[in-house]
Amino acid sequence: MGAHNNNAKVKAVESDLSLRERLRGEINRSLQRGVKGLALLGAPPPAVGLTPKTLLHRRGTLSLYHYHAQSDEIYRVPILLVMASTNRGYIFDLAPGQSLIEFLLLRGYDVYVMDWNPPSPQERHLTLEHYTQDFIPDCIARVQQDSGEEDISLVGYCMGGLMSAVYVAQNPDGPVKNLVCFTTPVDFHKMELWTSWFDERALDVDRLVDAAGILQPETVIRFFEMLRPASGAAGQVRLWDNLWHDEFVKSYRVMDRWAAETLPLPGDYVRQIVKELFRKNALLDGSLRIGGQPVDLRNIRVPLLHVLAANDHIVPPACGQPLVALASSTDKEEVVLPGGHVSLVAGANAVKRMWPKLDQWLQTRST
Amino acid sequence: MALFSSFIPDPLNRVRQLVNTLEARLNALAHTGMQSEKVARTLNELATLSFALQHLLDSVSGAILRRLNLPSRQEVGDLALAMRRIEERLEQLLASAAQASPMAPERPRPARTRRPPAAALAAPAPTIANPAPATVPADPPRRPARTPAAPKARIASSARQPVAKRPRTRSARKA
Repeated sequence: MGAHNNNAKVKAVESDLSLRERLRGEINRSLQRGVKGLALLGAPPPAVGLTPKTLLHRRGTLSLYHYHAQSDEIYRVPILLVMASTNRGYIFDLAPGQSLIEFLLLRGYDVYVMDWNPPSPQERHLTLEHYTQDFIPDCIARVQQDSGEEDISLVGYCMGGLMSAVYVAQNPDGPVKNLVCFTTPVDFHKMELWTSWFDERALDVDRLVDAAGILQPETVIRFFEMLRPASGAAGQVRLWDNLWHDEFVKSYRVMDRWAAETLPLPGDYVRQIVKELFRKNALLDGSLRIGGQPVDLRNIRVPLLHVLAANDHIVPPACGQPLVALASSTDKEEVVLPGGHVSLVAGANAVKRMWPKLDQWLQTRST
Repeated sequence: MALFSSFIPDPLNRVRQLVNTLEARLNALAHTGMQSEKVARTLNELATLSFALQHLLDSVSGAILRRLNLPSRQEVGDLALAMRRIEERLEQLLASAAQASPMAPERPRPARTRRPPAAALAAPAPTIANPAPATVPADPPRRPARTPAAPKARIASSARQPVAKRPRTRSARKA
């Protein structure tokens, strides 16, 4: 009986201590939230894209960068990363330690990146033809010239992956040696909300494009935000909750900056995507023609890796899965990793999962 | 300790859980609601109205700017484009000048002789029939090989100019 009483007393003291520790911790965090929150108000935008690089070529909306090697010996085949036309390429190079490019350089790859600048009003007529039959081959030629290598590993993210896949499908005999796609849409009807919004009964895309010329980034951001309308407010609550946590705030700010710097889109490119891809689902059924030539994904015969995100709300796995299913490559692999559309390529998930997977896949195919 | 802590609810943790639940439910609700044709039409009507208003505002502001003898957005855009062209040309000229200068030290290029670790070579290449596991542990850090770097001349590129291809080096390396 006496022992039982003693145990109860010990439990009560431990519980009391735990409560006091928790209270102390919460008060400390609240103070830090106030102080750091105030400091954040006047803070300059976070620095991004710090990995040393050289601008090899710039033409209107297109920029081609070469990142400086960070190891003494590199793989023979250079990598050309193709960014999605909607966003800045520094998602691959957010900050030291949070950079896919830095990771690849340290692992011994030679890295080139095709990045996009906001298109000028004169570039409103750009279409998939320009991206896949002008910009990509032009950059490939420049990478070949700069590296002295004929073979190239083409790595595309989202619409950059689609452009890369279209390029390889139309140029099956080279010079692309390996094709890697991240969250690349193929079956556009699996993007249910956008398919519904872009239906011809709902949206007069010609009127929209003719009036706008260039689709402003605010409109593009709104289309993305409307997929998850509650997430913006929830994100703000989470930011407030974690204001004391420097690493969280740093990651949040760089991602927030990246999302806010969404690019405007050429009107004719939007018109083509809405009509051909969302309405006709032409890439999936093989009826898509780019520059008068058919785009048949079955023509892809190079080694292919497609990485999809299990919780992707923009390109759900079902939307991207036909790529590997259709490609004729004998060496092909599809991987669905935990994470979302962006956290697949940048963030803690990416560091632990996607980057090592990419390295493991590329290293044996880059010699 | 954790057991006793659990007896006393953590109000902030409850709030966090509530935020997560609310976010998921609201997003799911919105997803279901916004799939309807009616919502899509309403969105389109709103977008059309917004563009009409924007057009009207542009016309009015254009008239005011002309009256004040100030440049329109189009004219400022044209100026920005001209500036960008000048910047691009400057970047190319500066890059060419830097390459051509005998004083400019050539950044050494590492040798393209890296080989994958032996373990990676031993493993069979995964295919769709034999997929790799979803999560792959990172390889242990490797010490960079001390191979002498082969300096390579860089050729400045310029806009809209055809690119001369270099001879392939793979065959030489294989040999």
